[in-house]
Amino acid sequence: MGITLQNTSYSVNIKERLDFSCAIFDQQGQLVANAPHIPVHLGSMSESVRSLIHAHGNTLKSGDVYVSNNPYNGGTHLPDITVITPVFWQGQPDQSQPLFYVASRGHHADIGGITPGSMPPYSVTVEQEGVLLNNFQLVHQGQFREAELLQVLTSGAYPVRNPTQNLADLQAQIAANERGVQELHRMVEHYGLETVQQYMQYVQENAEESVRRVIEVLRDGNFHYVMDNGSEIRVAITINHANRTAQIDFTGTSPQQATNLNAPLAICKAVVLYVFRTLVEDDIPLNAGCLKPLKMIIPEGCFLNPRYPAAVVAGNVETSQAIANALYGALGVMAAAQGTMNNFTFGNERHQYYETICGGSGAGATFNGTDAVQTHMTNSRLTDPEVLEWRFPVLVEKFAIRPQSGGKGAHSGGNGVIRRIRFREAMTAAILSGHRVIPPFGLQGGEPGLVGRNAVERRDGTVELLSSRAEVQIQPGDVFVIETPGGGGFGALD
Amino acid sequence: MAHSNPSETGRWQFWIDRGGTFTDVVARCPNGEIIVHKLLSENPARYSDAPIQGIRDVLGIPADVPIPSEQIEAVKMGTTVATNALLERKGDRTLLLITKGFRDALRIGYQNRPNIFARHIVLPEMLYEQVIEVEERYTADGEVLTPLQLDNSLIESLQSAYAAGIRACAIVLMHGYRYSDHEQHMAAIVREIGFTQVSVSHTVSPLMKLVSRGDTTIVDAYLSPILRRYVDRVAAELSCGTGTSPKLMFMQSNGGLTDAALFQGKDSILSGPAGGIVGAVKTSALAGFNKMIGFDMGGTSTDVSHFNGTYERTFETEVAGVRLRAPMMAIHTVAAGGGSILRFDGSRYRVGPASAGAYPGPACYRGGGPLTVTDCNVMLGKLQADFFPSVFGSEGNLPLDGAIVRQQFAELAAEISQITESQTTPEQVAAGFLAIAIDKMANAIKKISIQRGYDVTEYTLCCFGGAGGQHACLIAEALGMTQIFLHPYAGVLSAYGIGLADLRSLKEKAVETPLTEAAMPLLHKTLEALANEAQSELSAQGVAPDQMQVLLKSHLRYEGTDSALIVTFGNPAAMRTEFEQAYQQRYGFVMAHKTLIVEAVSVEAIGQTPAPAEPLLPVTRLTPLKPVGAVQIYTKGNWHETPIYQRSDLQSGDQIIGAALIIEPTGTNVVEPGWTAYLTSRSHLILKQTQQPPVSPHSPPPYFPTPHLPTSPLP
Repeated sequence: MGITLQNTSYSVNIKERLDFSCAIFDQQGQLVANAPHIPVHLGSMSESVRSLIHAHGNTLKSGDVYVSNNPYNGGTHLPDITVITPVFWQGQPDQSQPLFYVASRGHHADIGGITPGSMPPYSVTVEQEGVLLNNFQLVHQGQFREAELLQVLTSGAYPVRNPTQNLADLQAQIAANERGVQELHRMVEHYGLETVQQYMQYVQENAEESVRRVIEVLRDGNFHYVMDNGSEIRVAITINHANRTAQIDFTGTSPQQATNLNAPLAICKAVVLYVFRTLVEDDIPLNAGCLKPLKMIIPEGCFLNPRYPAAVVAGNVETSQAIANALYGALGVMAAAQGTMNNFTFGNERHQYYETICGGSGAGATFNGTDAVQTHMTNSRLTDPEVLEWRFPVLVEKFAIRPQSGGKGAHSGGNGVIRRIRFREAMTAAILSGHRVIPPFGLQGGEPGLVGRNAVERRDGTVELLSSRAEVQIQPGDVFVIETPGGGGFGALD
Repeated sequence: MAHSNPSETGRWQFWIDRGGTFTDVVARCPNGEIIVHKLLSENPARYSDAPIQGIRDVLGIPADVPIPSEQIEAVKMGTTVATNALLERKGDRTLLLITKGFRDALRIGYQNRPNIFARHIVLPEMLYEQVIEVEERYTADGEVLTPLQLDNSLIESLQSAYAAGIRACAIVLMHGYRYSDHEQHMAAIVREIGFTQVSVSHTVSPLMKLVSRGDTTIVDAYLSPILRRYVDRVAAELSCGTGTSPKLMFMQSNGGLTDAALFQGKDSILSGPAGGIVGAVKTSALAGFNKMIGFDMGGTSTDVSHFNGTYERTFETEVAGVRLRAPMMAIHTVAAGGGSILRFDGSRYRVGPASAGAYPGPACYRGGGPLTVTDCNVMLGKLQADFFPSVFGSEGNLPLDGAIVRQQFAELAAEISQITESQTTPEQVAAGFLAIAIDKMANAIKKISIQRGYDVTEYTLCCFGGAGGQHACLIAEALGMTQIFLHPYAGVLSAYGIGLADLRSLKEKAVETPLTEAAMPLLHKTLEALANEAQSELSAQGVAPDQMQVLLKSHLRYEGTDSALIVTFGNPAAMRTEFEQAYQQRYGFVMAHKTLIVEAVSVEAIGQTPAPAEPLLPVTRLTPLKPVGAVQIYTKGNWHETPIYQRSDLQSGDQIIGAALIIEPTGTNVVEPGWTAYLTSRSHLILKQTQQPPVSPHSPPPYFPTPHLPTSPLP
């Protein structure tokens, strides 16, 4: 299924950066298995599936497909669009309810909002970030509801800019789901329904057990993590060795904000799942079972569990990285990675482009950080420089490892990168990033990584330093420079 | 021994696959007879090169006597020399020259990490030792922003790299695939300084994408010298280059042979496995099967392939952490083979990816090895010590050790019973692990067939490699396939395929232009140039023009997408139609109004090798076929009384109803219940499913068959 979507999707975003995930769910909407190319999609899709079951569970029919991107209903941010196909089987005794669900989530290049590319650095409400789809019926018994969909996509205060592209991507997602449905049918016919359902249970129990085994060897810890804009994540991890459970308590975290750094609930859960999964040094199935031994307290109204209509576009791509660092800090196992995705967008009427840029990874007790690599909640690929220059009026002047940016220590943090893009046309460019003010922390005496830096070098030689989040008008000949943070070191240098 | 078409020249031919563990030699005698020989690839005490030793063995020539090369017409070879050098990072020291600003571009690559859940991120080691940035710059449209700056400091750095002993150099400049003047100029300078291996990106891989083209160019620079030295050594042993010397040809990753002198590093990575596909395809065609799944199961891994009338190729592959853009046979490999180690982790049965290798080997090999997939088959009676070569123990003369296998499975069954609070027998445990291994391999086949829109039930499963025949029926059942083909040379099919392979030359070039009438002159011109190049390469190897076939292809994709499909070159409407059909089949929809981009055009020139005449075997025995023994095998939840036959006893018209074991020198074939085996007059063994398997054919072990889920990660 992952392959199908990768092969089919056609926006640059979905296609070249592999920015999507596919998964299957049991009758209750519990995640059974997925192909996680992008960790931040982990687990959170099942919230979307459960919200569909909650809203339409009894009226779903074979041949129906739904779409959602609602951040207050399992979504992460509006460009991440989830297509859900309920799965029926002709041999099932009770035809009134689906047996399973198949879902695929892809990052669309544009879903409207106040900025082309739908990653507005300054949005303050979710409306400004684009079109919100809440369990919208995409296919009705085999019929693609193109007219109805177009109406939704092109209505509202900030409609989508290129509906044809959204349509094609959604069709690709439908096709990807269909392959998944066929495979599930084949499996049920081969093994029998009862066996498949039984094993969907087993696989969750197995994942749960694997996480419990990790919990056995962990210790209590807490961490206080400050972001560039001053907002704070506070987390306390309490291990109950007798029950083999962990409580992850975010009480004390800053309230929701008038920026877009708010992270919908699904994100925090995805990060917790990711962090615990990385502690299991084995290839385990990743599913709803992993979350069972983990009790999360995320107070409503804090910026990790915001209320509608808070803006959220950066929660997915920035706050998620901060949460991951904070959790590793609390567990004491790894220094901070670059802690940002360095979301860089540019565009005008004719072009829209979005990329995330790698940086340094954090050091651990037994290893150095790695230079210039995607960390934690993203693993998006970068467009090849020749393809980028072929499609957009830009020149990549430099893409290189940023020396001495990793924090020193007994084990040193990985270095960030330097990326210089020269523009050949006037454009609007925006950067959404973190750790431009506060350095990524080191642990156990290891030094922090170097903060990142955003700047525009104008054609006449003047340099404008930009803050963590900025939008600028670019003229031909100007260069946008992004230097990404290094990872923190671990252990004191002696 | 069988007869092939007699050699016109009355001389020998040797078809050789030098694999990781064994080197297989198929020799065609001057009278057309075929001789098969196997030897260890590495045996430094006895010989320095296995293929040469194989030739000596067959001809009976002692080590100190030169090979009588005048008796040899041709040596065709597949080799892992370059593949191993790549895996072990033992290529030649290489210098990278790249456009200023991009010194780390290949190291950063596409910035993704290989394992998203690893806290310690380990990236593949780079192949180049040194980078020098070159000040020059083209735009995507070919505008020269910065002319090539040949200042003293550049020349000095090149000279000091040379002085440090580096002799291989890769040149990769931005947009060089299309605007190649700067690359050409740089290449001339580097050669003048004295570098002996100069790989230039626009000739190695004239396609867009700096990173993958750059990687490919480096691989070529890094591996070609090693390959060249190897080729020269073999050529010297065979006195190539003298009057009546043999023709020396090598198998390329693209499935075609080429003259030793033209064999390049970037085309060598799948040399052996490509021979396997050719062998599977050509022998299947002889048997009348035109839709085929190739299934090559060895000790540590299994290679699978799909054939539907034309060879499938990938043009971008990742091997050992290196992105390669070169036409290669589409082969999918999974780390599951006979030697894959079994493990119970407290709740799940796990198979591999670790392998017991050749030493200590599976537990039954008497080397103190762990339980493996092979041991499952010993436990279940499917592998019989009495019918397996006695080559084990310190003297190398003992049979398989069944007792240790039964003992270890009994211990494991007791442990599992205790943990899961169940009554699990040793044979249930073995069958459970076997089911997992079958799942892994069946899923590999799904990836290249079902997931790409092919209906695998219409296909024949062509099994080869040492362990294929033990699992063929179970694999077929897992996929809904009903027919299996086992060629008499299944044990050495790669070598046989190398002998049957055609000479091929593939050339491609990026064009990156919308598919319109207006683009046709450019496409024609580009194809003509490529065709000339490919044809002259074959002519130089002695292929007459009337024996040459030339295929023209376009690589098309929808605008804005990244995955091209390959169609036959024709008028734009015809190409669009073929593209849409292929796209519909693979992805389930088309985008009717979307612009198509011609990413590249390619040419394949083929110099055909005649198919062998596999003679009809006469029926000599008039009495019914008799088994040579009978045993109990455990399968599908029960023990079955099972007769054993020798394949050499079989003749045309014989039918064997499963459960049965058919033994041959290179392996055991298991005919599962519900299957019937037939021998054809060409000595082809065909297994057909004559009875549907019950639901849940394998006894389900206490695990979930994760690989069955349609969500496997990217290859």
